[in-house]
Amino acid sequence: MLKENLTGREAAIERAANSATLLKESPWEGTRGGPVGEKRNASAWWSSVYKGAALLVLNALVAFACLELAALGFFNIQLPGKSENPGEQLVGEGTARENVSYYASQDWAKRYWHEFRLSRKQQFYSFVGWRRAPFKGQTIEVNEEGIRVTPGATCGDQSFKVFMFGASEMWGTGSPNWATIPAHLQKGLQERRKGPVCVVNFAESAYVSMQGVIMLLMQLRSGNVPDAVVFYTLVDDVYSAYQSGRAGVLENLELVAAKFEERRKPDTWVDRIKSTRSYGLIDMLLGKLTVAAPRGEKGGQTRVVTYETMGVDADTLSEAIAQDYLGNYRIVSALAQKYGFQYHYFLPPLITLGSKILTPEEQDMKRKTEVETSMYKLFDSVYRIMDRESPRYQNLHSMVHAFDSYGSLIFIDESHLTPVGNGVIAEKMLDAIHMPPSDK
Amino acid sequence: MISVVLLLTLMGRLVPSMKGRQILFLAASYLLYASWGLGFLVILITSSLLNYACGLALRRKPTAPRLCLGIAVNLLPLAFFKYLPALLDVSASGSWQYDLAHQIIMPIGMSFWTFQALSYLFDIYYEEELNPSLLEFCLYMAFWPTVFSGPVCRLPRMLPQFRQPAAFNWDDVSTGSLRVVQGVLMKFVLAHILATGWHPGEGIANGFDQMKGGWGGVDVWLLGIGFGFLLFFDFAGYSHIVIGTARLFGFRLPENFDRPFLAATPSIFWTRWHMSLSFWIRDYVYNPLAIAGRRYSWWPYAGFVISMTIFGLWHGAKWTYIVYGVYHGLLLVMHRMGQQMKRQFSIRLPRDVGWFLSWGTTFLLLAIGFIFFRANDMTQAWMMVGTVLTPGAYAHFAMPRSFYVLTVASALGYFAVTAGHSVMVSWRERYRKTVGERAGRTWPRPIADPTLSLGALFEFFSARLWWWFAPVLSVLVFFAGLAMYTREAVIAVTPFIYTLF
Repeated sequence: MLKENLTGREAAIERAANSATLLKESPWEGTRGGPVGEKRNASAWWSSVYKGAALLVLNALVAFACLELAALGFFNIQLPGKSENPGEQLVGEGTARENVSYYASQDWAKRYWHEFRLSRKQQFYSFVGWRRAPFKGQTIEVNEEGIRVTPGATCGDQSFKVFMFGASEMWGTGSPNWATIPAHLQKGLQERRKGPVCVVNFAESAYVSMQGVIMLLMQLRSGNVPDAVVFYTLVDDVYSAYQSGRAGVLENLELVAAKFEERRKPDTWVDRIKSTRSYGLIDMLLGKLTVAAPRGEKGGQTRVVTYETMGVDADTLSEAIAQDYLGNYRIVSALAQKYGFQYHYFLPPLITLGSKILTPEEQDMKRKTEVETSMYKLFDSVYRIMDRESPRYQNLHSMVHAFDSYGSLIFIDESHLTPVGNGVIAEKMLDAIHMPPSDK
Repeated sequence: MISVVLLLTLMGRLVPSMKGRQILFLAASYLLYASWGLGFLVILITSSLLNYACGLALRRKPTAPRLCLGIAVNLLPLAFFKYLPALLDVSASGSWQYDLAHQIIMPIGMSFWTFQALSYLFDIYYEEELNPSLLEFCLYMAFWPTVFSGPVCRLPRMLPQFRQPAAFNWDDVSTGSLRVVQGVLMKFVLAHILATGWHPGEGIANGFDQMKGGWGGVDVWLLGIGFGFLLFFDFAGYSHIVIGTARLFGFRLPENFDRPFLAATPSIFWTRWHMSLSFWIRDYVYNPLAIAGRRYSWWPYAGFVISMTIFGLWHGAKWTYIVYGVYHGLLLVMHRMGQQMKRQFSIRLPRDVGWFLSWGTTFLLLAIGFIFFRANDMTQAWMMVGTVLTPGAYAHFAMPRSFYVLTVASALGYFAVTAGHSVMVSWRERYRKTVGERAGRTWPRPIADPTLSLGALFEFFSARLWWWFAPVLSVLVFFAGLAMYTREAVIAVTPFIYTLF
């Protein structure tokens, strides 16, 4: 009676329920119920897998959006920047050279490396690209022209003027104002001369020798003619060629060019991920929680682009570097004749060259330099060419053997020196510079 | 090594035989311990065998001399490895005493497993029914998640778990993973940044180790508070990792921390901070002492000071630790006396005001305690405490700005998260009572009451941990992995502070 009143749909449901009951009571309960049941189970399985995966993916996107929002908030209310007040905390850049044993006994050292970090800011400078921004600390002072101050320099019409050019080695990385090569030279010249002496440190970090030549040209153009010019360069000429595979170009050429041209590589998906705020936040946090993996831990692989990875031949490149360098020498020589100043070129010493008895610390620095075989090879090759060529250039002096008789620590890395080393180099320069007869 | 240990433990969970399971767990534990030094393992095994023998002797006849022998078996090696070097270290360099002091290396985790062994002997002495086999006792002593830095376990809790049949449980996996991740974040992010500073050299470690003086009053308070949080993130983070890892394999270890900085009195603090050790001290030092001297009214006070001095001394033979213990003993005494005075004079304050005053005082007193704990020597500790007591020092600030911001932000963040979690839990309970049970579903119909809605949301997400935990973890791991690969960096692992004890 009741069944007769059921609609077609209700009857179908009841049939399905009955068959389910039958199936449950059948001996096959718990097993796959034939092809139809199998299909239904597989379908349900795929459906649940799809739902689960969709849910996880969707939630991952939601998590990413939340992280992005959090990162946005974080970057808008960042913690205060590093303390600008040198009196508060003295924090350097954390490089190995800061921990060289020489500095342990120097009471200015902590402050120096702290100020070195703070003085890193560069600003645009016509024709040469960059110079340091003005900075006034206790161990580093950079004037409004971006020139590191030489203590005791008295620059006037009657002064004996010496312009010094070079890169960080001449600028004085690792030494306070009073212990750079120009500062030592200033003291030496003052002792020898009765009148005022004006040694100007035109050097700047990462300058190649051509930038020094341009700086000299700008001084001459403005009527500021020196009595003597000293170039202490080559290291960065070689390094820029090592980076770019070309001689006679700026250091970090690719970076500078890309900035100027507003050039952008086609974005890969990794680049896009890296441009998110979430990546920025996590990368910044990791920067505080991680240390660089020791070399060799990545199987000795390096991803740095160098002349070798570009397929440039080391010998050809070395020859080009040397010829460019000597070309600059000839320009300065011609200017010297025209303007009437003396000029001297000095090839900076390197830890990998010369016969200095290295301290264990220096031996370790040398080992680390030699790990970069392509760079080491290039330096070696260029210096050999310069040795070969130097007899033809009377004002070209090599400092490679300047420390052969020194057993104490002189190097703080592959090319920068302690104040003691700077003093030795300044002595050698002093021997080369001719004082006017009336002054001696 | 750790993967082999994990594999052995996983295999142990799958083996149906109880003995086979225990053998695999013990092999994993000994393997991990031996990776720190084979000599350490020999000492651990020797101690396990001696303690088991002492236990057997005590079970036959629980007498005081036998217990004393058992205590000596444990405390003499601990004194030799932990306290003798500190005593000899004061000798002139080059003397044999000095050389000996520098040759003695304490087996890692010795303070923890020695106290576990002692608790076993005490339990038997107090005639608790314990009948571990030698295998079970060795496993109890060497159980790899706890052997290095606790939590200090008790055999009555662990034995049934060593014997229980293997059973896979998703809840264990979920809770265990969540706690491991929580611990990793606390230790490797929060504790690390607090210690080293937002910028290198601007952290708490610098404030204690690099500065020889010249702190301002606020600096010292924040160094104390900051170190408290640093120690909490470090050790509670470690405890989360250990408890979570054990939970992944189905073991439930005792908790070590329970929102300690919300404690409103020193007594409550000690029921929430390093709980496994503080309860050990309460049960096996304070309680027997209190019973022994119950005739004298002053004796419980002495008991507090003696117990807490032992607690401080447990950390090492340094005056700073001893003073830290005595200081906390005196705080407990003062608290007890304060309670009596309050009753005597019937002082009444509005409930919330009273709680806040009590909490604030406790929090600041704890900060002073942490200065004693962290100071490199007593001279430094007194200098810092002296600064706090000098009104003129409050006009002077010697630490970098990022230190102040980071320390205050960590403290406020901790309170915000703890309070937020407690509020959400209470709302969830309310939701469960009013809606969930009635409806029989976890997700209610739209509710006008926002707290009930939030309670429902919290219930929804807690019941579906993997829905959000796995995606969040994946996103974080993905970004962190990419950043690590790009930086060619490795995590700077600072040692867990408590592994030094």
